[in-house]
Amino acid sequence: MIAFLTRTRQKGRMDLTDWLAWGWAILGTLVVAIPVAWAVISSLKTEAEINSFPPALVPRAAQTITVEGQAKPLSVWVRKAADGTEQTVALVRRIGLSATVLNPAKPQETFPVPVSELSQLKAFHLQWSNYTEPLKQFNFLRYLWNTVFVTVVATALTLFLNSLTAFALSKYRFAGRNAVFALILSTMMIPLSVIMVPAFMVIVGLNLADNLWGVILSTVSTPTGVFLLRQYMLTIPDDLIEAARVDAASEFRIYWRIVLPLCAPALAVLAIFSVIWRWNDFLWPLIVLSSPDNYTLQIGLNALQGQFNVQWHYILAMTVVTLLPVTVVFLFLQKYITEGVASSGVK
Amino acid sequence: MTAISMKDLRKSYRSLEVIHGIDIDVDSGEFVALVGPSGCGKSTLLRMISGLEPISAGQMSFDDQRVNDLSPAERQIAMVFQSYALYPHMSVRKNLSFGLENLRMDRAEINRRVEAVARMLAIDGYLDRRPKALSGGQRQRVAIGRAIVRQPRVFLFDEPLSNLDAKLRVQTRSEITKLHKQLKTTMIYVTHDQVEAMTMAQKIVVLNKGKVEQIGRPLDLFERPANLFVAGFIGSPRMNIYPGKIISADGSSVTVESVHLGRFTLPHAIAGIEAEEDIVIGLRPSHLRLGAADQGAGGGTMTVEQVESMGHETFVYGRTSQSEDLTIVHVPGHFEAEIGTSLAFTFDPAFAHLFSAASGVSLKEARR
Repeated sequence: MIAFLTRTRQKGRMDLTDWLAWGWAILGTLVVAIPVAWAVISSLKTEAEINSFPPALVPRAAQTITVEGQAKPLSVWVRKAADGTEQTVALVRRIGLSATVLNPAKPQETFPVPVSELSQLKAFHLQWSNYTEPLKQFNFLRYLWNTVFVTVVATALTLFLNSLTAFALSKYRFAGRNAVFALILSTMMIPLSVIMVPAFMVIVGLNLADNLWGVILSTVSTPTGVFLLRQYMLTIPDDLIEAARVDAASEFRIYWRIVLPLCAPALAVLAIFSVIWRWNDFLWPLIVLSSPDNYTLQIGLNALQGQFNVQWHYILAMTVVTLLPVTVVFLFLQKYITEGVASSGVK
Repeated sequence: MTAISMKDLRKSYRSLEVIHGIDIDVDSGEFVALVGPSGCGKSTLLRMISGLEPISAGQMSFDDQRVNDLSPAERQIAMVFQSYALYPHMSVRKNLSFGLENLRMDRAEINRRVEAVARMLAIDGYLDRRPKALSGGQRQRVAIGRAIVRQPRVFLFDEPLSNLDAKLRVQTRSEITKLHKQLKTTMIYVTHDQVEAMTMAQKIVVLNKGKVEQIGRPLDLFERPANLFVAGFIGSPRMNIYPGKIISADGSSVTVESVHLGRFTLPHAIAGIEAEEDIVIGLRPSHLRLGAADQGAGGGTMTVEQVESMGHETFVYGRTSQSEDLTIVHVPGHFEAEIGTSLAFTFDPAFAHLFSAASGVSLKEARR
């Protein structure tokens, strides 16, 4: 690992290409990692902290103190007087530029100070309630189950249907094969927003509106998947398929026992894509699903965002939760991605 | 044990015909080699026999049963591919048993057969390895094993030795021959290497441009090539070819003249030739020898251009005056000659092959 990381173009010397490679790698990492890291950090902040300016890197919360004679806990501030002396005070109320404070040691005496002399005392604090509250308030488990159901079923169907299509398009010769392939590819260029309305009408016509199957069935056939798998299957020698045919295997058995296992790297890539797509899918489920019982996570998250009030602390926390499964899937299957890329070039 | 009969077989891709009516009969248990230069249609013909390639016209029958429209599985053939086509994601054992599993054979019987074949081919030591972890020769055996284990009616080999190194090729050659003697199954073997065909096959079919040039026993093809193509294809190095002319012919001899070989007389009659007819004379390098010609024997002189000595034999390549093709002379033992020197060579006219210059067809010696 060390040897790999410290390897340079010429031994013991940093070449220009090494600088460029490192620069690019670091820049890319930062571009990708900073927003994620910021979301994770912010998800542990209090609502007030998220909105405070300038933002703090570490999640903190205002320190409070319970003082005799005051109903609520008071926030703790440091007063830096004009003569340079410092004093810890508790804030009672603040009106305009003037604040009423008291010395926690003598809770009976309150006195006014200008706001400019005060700075708030904050301590490291992780606001775990950002995570626990939505679980209680919202039907989070329901949304999670719906999303998992859509993701797993849609991915399984995507892999099965797309690999069947790719098998036919790569290993059989029939009239119009290229035309069919071109047709499938051309649909890649049509964005969802163009076909949204007719697609929704089809879903309604099939009586699948506000039904998870309406979300699943319309997404399982992806041109990207067909393209990816077809290109990979082209690299499987025809000899293997003919050998299986001589070995008395049925066409489906050839697909199931020979072609599918050999496509594992490409299937893994498509599975990762499909899981990410379906998990993060927002627009189409938003259109199809209307009752909260059928909401997926992404739609549920959207419900936290009102017209006038955005509950950032909840949104961020739930975003982190929804990120986790995709991240885990990626971590476990990433070796297949590199394998898939690497093995296609090597015999 | 299956006899195969092909009657006027044709194959065309759209309007392009690549196999132009082939008739071959393969006896039950026979080892037949299909040879020819690349692009002659030998592999296509093999695939038509296997059922992987549809037959456009004609009839193919196995033991008098028409099989034109049967799948490879229904024809019960087994094939060894040039690339071996081993399933890379399966162990050797799985590779061998896959075909039997497809036939829904009993598990115990599958194991018994796989073990038996593995022992026979000496691959039982690595039944659990993947093909990737095997050497070329081992993969070759597994590919053959996969064919044997199914106990097919016909074995088809598509240039199975072309990916092996020279030493392994010779070894595998004799193993396949041994296998054929042991199994006594009909085998059809495609190769572009005439040495393989000559050493292994009981019958050779020489193909050229989608047509059969000659069918016969290996020695027949060598000694009595039916035409110039077969004469040039069978035998290594190739036969020497010279233009010539018939001077006279009678009931017991034929006199021939060539600018390269002088005038010589064949000691046997040839039917259906006339004086002044243009012919082509073919002479095997092994039938030429260095030295001046005796009376009545043919001979010429050539300028040496190249000498290839293998130690136990030497081939001398030279050019006779005005000729385009090199003359090749086989000399037993080691022989040295300076490039550019002039050497005389001679031959026994009895060994000369005569072909019609117009058609390339052999002028067969009349039965004495």
